[in-house]
Amino acid sequence: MKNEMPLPPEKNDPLDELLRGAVEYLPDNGFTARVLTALPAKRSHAWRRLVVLTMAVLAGAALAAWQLPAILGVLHQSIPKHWSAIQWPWLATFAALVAALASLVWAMFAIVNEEE
Amino acid sequence: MSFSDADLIARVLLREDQNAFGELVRRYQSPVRGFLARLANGDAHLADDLAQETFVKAWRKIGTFRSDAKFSTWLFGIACNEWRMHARRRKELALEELAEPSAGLAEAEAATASNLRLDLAAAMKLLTTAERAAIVLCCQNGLSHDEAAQALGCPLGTVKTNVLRGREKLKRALAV
Repeated sequence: MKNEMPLPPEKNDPLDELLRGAVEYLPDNGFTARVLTALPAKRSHAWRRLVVLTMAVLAGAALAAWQLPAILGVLHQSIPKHWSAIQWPWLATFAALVAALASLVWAMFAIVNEEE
Repeated sequence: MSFSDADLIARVLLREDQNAFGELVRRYQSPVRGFLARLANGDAHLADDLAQETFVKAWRKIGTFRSDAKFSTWLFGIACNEWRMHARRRKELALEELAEPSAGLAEAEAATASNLRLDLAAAMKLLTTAERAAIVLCCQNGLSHDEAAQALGCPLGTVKTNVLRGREKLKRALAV
């Protein structure tokens, strides 16, 4: 760390004396506490969050790649001919699929927008 | 036991130690707030807001601090940028501009003309923002011209000129 000496004041210069004399110590008066309160969350937390989200996306993607063909096959075979023919088991499977895809999209969106 | 700035910075970098950062804030709050108050023509509330933002930015960017400079110089640089952004937002004077003193200072000019002694605070208002910043850093906070140039983000020659001009104006205004 540089330890450069400050400029030597001009000898017997009343302006320098006046300027130095005008420097007063400002009491803290809670300033430090306000700064500490305003500090953003620890960066390590953000880093951990990023890791968790990435793991979740990878796990979700792997699970989807493994199970999606089977689920789509079941849905395709039992696709209802009319809206009135929709049955609860089919609807539940379809809703679960939509929720899983939405979660995956949300997780990827969160990673992309992760604050550095 | 008193830690050096380098020790405290290392603790902040390695452990994100808020207590260590708090100690740095306690050490430098007075010069940073004083510097900003001078730039803000004595507006203590504005100076404190800008100083708080300065320290929050310092916390965020402390990884970019290079240990070949003094921590205070680095902080003054951030404070200066905060002031510039504020000035831009309010369409006031930017540090680079060497504008004339505002019309509201006519009273101070008149006092000088009639050989009345101004106090230092009033005389400082006669300076441009750039001159005031250079005088406060070099003559009141003990920074070298090099360090002030680094903090203000301007060439060394500009700082020297601003200090010289500022001192001449102050000498005339204060009749010293």
